Amino acid sequence: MRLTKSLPNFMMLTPFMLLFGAFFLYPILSGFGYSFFDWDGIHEPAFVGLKNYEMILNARSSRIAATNLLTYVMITVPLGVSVAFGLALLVDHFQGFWARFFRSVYFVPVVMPLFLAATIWRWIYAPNFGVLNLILGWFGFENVRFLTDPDVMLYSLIGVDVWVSAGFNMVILLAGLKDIPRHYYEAARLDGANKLQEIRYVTLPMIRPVMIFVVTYSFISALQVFDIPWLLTGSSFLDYGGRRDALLFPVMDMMGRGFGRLGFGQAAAYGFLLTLVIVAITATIFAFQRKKENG
Amino acid sequence: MSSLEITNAHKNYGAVEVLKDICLDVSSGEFVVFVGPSGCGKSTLLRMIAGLEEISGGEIRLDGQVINDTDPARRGVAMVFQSYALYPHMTVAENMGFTLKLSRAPKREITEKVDQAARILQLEKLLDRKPGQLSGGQKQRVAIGRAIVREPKVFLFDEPLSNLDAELRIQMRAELALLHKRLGSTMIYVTHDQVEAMTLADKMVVMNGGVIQQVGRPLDLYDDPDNMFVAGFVGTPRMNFLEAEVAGLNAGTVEARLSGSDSGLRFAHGGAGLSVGQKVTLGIRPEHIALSDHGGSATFPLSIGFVEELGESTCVHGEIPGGARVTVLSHGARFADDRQVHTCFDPAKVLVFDQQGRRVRSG
Repeated sequence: MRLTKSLPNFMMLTPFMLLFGAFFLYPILSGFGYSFFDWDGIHEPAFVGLKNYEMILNARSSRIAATNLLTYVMITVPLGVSVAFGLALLVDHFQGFWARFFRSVYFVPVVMPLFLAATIWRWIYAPNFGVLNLILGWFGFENVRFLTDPDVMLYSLIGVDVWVSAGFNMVILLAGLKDIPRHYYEAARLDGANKLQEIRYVTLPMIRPVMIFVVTYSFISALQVFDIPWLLTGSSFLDYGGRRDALLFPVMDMMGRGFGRLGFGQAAAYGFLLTLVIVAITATIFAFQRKKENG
Repeated sequence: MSSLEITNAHKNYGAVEVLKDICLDVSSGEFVVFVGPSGCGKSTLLRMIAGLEEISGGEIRLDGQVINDTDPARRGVAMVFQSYALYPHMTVAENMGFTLKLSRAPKREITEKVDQAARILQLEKLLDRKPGQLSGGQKQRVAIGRAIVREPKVFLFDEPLSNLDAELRIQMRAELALLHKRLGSTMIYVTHDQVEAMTLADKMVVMNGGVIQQVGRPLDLYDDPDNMFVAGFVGTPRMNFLEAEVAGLNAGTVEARLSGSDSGLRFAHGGAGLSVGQKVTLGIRPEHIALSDHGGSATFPLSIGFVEELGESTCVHGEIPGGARVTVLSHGARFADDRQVHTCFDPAKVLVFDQQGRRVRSG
């Protein structure tokens, strides 16, 4: 009886469920299955148990990728969110034309195709005729090899990443700022708060849900970093990660193992390990948020 | 306790002048109420005193010191906002002690002052709660507590009761009056509710169109308004206004003919500033008109339109000859809709206004 009553609902959900099953659930489950096989995409897959996972966890390239990722995430997430928050505060300060102007200017990198952004930054970072080296030269600094010096490459990438992501995060944070009623700031002014104290005691607590979203999103994006370092280093599936693997990251390593060395089983296992890390970090952030809300 | 002087204060938003030539003295310990319709500039004036709005011209002095450019926190004022403005992420105690925390007061001092304010407002049991867990009345009390903790020279209230239901508003009104008595502080209160203004104020400031219309004690404004706006704004039900023409001036009395009718009305007035044939507006309060079933020489017939039974009184709305609408407040007697009765105006209570709406006093 209940099933008959709910049948139209199920019918309406069916198209989505079919697509979801075919293009999302099946690839995930089959990928998980392949992670226990040795498969080059040509021959029959051979069951190897947890060997793929062992190989990844013991591989030197995985350790380099994980170390690079850790450094990258630890810097790019706080820096990117801080820059976006600063820009949001700045844009929020303006009204009318200037607010629209700055919002648009800062959002341009978000809508720009990544290959174009990478090309622009390769030109900015270029060793001899690059804009940045030109400017540094005016101040007497020596030429910096932003994209070939292994000690600098990661920071060059972070610069590009912050530039690309700041606009998107700024727009979200700006929406949060616009939602804060003005009387809280007026009360704070009367209470004797200066601008920094207003930000600390009014703005940040009031946009906490938005900030948590931005931080979580930034974490997830950062953990999956691939396209910008790939383009900046002019990588291919056989040669990637830049000089001395300075810009080697897990997703890149996973792609290289899959499509470069035709180790699709290893790539699948890599993907699952990365998924576990992302889920664990996201769950930790949400748990932290819930604890704060309840406490 | 502190006194406040406002001299020739102006406020412009671009070319629009929203406050014009405001002059006002507030004495120490006085409870002053700014009252007027929406958009009259009363909240803007309060915010200028608080320092939340810049003053375009003139001077505001607190205890003799010009505070035009003084930072809001250093003016020695505390404000209670219409929307309470309690920080939702802080507890009641944190909200109340926030100003002291910012001024780096010792923790013991903060606790003492918060506890003291909480005792005054009976908030002791709510100190650990967050604003989201409080009722409207409790939030309002916390907002007042936050102001008390600052120990301000002047308390500013911006329509603090307008978000409360009618019953709670009456209760909080009484609490505010008691609080003023207890603290003896100078308080400035903004409201559009003239009943609130009448019941709370030592001094009422009636505003309209960015201009102070009249300043005085509530009953003085009620009995002796300077113009038609004040006469109409102060008092519920509002004063009746009747268009008329001066028909005769005698010793101590004036005879006027109501517009659109042959009916005349004789009332006490010295006649100064009036001349025969002059168009005027007569004002009489609803409680100064008597109703009876029988007509007489000085009565007007009234066709009752509808009747509002208020319990202790009855508000009768109707029309007199000439089409003027009249409201009568009657105590005791009951009247039915759609019948005709007779009105008798108290000749000693008729006020006269000229064509510009200014009061023409008896002289």
